Amino acid sequence: MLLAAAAMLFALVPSAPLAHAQGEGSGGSPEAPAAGLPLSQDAGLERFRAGDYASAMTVWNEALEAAEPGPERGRLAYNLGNASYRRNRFLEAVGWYMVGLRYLPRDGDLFANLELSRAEAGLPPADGGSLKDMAGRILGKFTAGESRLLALGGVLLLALILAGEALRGSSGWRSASWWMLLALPLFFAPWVRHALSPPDAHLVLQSGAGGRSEPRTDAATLERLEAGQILEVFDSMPGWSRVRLDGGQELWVQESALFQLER
Amino acid sequence: MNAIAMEQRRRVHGMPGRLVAGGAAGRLPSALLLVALFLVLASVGAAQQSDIRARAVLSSGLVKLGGQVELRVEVENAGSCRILSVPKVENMEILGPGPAETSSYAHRMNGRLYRHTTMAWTLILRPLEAGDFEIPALRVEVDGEVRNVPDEPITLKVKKDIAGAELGFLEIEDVPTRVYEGQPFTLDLRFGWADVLTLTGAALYLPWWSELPGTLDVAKPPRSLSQAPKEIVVNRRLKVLIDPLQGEQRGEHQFERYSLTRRLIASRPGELRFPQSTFEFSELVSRGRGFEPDRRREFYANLEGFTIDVLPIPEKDRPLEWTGAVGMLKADRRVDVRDVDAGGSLELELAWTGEANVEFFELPDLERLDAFEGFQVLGVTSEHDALTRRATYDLVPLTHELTEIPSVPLWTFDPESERFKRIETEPVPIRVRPVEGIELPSGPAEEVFDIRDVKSHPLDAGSAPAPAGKTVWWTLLGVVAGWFLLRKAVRRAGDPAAPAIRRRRSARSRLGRSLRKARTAEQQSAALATFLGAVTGESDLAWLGRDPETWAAEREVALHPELVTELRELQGELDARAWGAGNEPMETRRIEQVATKVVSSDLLAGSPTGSKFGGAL
Repeated sequence: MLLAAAAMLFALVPSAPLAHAQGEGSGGSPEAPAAGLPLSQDAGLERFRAGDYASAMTVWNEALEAAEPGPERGRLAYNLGNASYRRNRFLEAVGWYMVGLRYLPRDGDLFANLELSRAEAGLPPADGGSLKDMAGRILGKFTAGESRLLALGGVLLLALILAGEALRGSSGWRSASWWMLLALPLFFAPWVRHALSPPDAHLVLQSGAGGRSEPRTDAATLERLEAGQILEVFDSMPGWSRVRLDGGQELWVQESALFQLER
Repeated sequence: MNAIAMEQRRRVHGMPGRLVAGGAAGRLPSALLLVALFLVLASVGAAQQSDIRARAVLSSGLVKLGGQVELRVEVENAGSCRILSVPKVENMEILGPGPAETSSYAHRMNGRLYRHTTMAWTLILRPLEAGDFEIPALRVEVDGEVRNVPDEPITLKVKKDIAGAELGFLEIEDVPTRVYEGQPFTLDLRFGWADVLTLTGAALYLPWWSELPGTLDVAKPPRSLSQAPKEIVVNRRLKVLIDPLQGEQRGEHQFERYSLTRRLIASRPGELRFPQSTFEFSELVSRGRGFEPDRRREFYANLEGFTIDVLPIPEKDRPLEWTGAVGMLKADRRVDVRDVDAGGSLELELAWTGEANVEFFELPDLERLDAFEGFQVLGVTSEHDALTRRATYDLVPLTHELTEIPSVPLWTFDPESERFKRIETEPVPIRVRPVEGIELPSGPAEEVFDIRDVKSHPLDAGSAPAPAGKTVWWTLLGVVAGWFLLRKAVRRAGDPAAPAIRRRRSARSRLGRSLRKARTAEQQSAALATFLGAVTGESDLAWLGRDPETWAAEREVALHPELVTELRELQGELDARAWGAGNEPMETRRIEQVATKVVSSDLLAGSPTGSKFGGAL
């Protein structure tokens, strides 16, 4: 059993580093030669430096769509957030940074810019210093894949300890087994957090955006949305998204008032 | 202390608490008058109400038989008040109380409005015979609560004859008739007696000594004296220090003189009353015989009562920069260094000296002065004595272009000229040397925020391989199932935590430890026997002298012939060494090799406590 568990662990743990730019505040910038940059990214950076933030966003947006899910997407979302910030579109910047954090959850630059953008947008800080915020931030330091890997690691550690208990059966192994069972939820907590987040989350960009009964501009406005709200979109049609509020109410909102966080 | 303005003051005799409209007000339309009255009452009602205080003061502590004294009862800051009963004192006629006298005023202190109201009654005391009288407390109802006023009985001395004016004196030096609030003033009582007297005692009766509401005692300037201060009893209770003065010729006699000084600051507008004061001194006439007391002759000198009006600081021409200084001041300055590097620090000491409330005014804030823009003020410390206030500012010149420390202004209210005056220190020339490579702060640091820059280097495009959620759950399930099966299989051959199994499991490692400690062949032999006993589930001594082949035959255990031979030879050699000459130990490696073979040979397959997992030992 030990050999089987170890084999499974080695099969699942990647030989390459999990992700770059996962160190706090590191900014995730491996020493890659600039000459090797794809043309589109160079162009985005040049336009950003030139102050043409809208064009830079176009370039980075295209690159984002083309990039595989992973740290590079986080970097591009970060840059898009900076460009939005420079255009004084602070809520949109908040959205981009939230997208970036999905891929680079331990990036200090991302979080710092997110907090600054939230402040500029008049939103409360993501980490208000409360115990709940602190726990959320700790659990949010893992990507979805990492959180599953962490859960699997916990399971394999449990397998190791249970094997010891089965073979030796001493009180020490039994105690270790109990402690590991108690600790196992900690290994699963980041994954559970990811699993509980809305599947197709959107950020409300416009304060007072109307939540309508039907996808028509002349339909009755049943609810006014607040900027910074995160809502689940579960249906859509051209120009409109159907969202579900916390109370379960389902409303239609114009797409332009929402920012997609799943990218 | 910064009592700023007396806003309203009125005094009504005869009818306490009633407002009297003046003639001009009477001509106003009644509605307007009512509105104005409402506003005044509302503002006063919203003002801060001070604590309630009550006291009773005699106009003199000494009176000649046939004369009279006044007892003044005052209650401050009460909404309603009346005297319930007047005490009866034997051989004393007490008349009154007369009509209540009410005075009130409001003033601002530190931006808050304070209102003070005083109600006062006067009683006349006429002693009918000489002696010492104690006047008990009066019962006064204050806002529905009955109080005894004062807390302690008042003493009054009545004499048939009051002599002494020619042999003693009590005077006061240059007492002001009016002062401004915040202005310090000194009460300097001078008293003495002719040196022809053989003095046996002296005391002062100062009814106002502890009854000066709205005043603060402040430090007195030191006085150069040729003799040490002495003590005198005041009001029969207190001992206070008095300063001896140089003798003085008065008329026919030379007088010894003393001074009792007190320096005060009036903290609010109003009137300070000082009833008649008395200096009592006595001369020994004859010594008493036996239990007979000495005969003394007592003398008295009086100082008539007086009042001091406390005026509010005028609002007119009051500069915004005025920080509460009242009095005559002059300013001086000093610096510790005049040649300083930019960014270095220097100490600027300012001193304001004079007859003023040096203890109470606020220091100039150099950070708010435009002239000090080129300096950073790190801090300020302050100290004072009776006549001087010193402030030491820690300054940092920020640029080498500075050539002087600018003058520091201070606004003060001069009570003599009744005007506000600006006094300034002289500028101090300094030289500030530039310092290369040091960035100096240009002023108070402002916190600036900005986002962190874009990330220019691409990151790995692919994400880390991660298990699917199902993989995790299936693994968890498999682990639990695997543990259950493995546990069941292991325990089929016995409990792995049983003592015999654990002993056998640890036999090999214990043999190694025993062999390392063994110093003789006998000890090695015992260690091997213990090992074999643990492996076969027998006692430690069971294998001493036992033949392996015989044992295997008896137990029907199939042992490899080579192992039996090696074991037998090993035992024989150990016995030979142990019982032969020297008891020399043999090489432990050989014993350990045999032990390893024993463990891996499944020796216990047929033993009672054997296990097919013996090879895992």
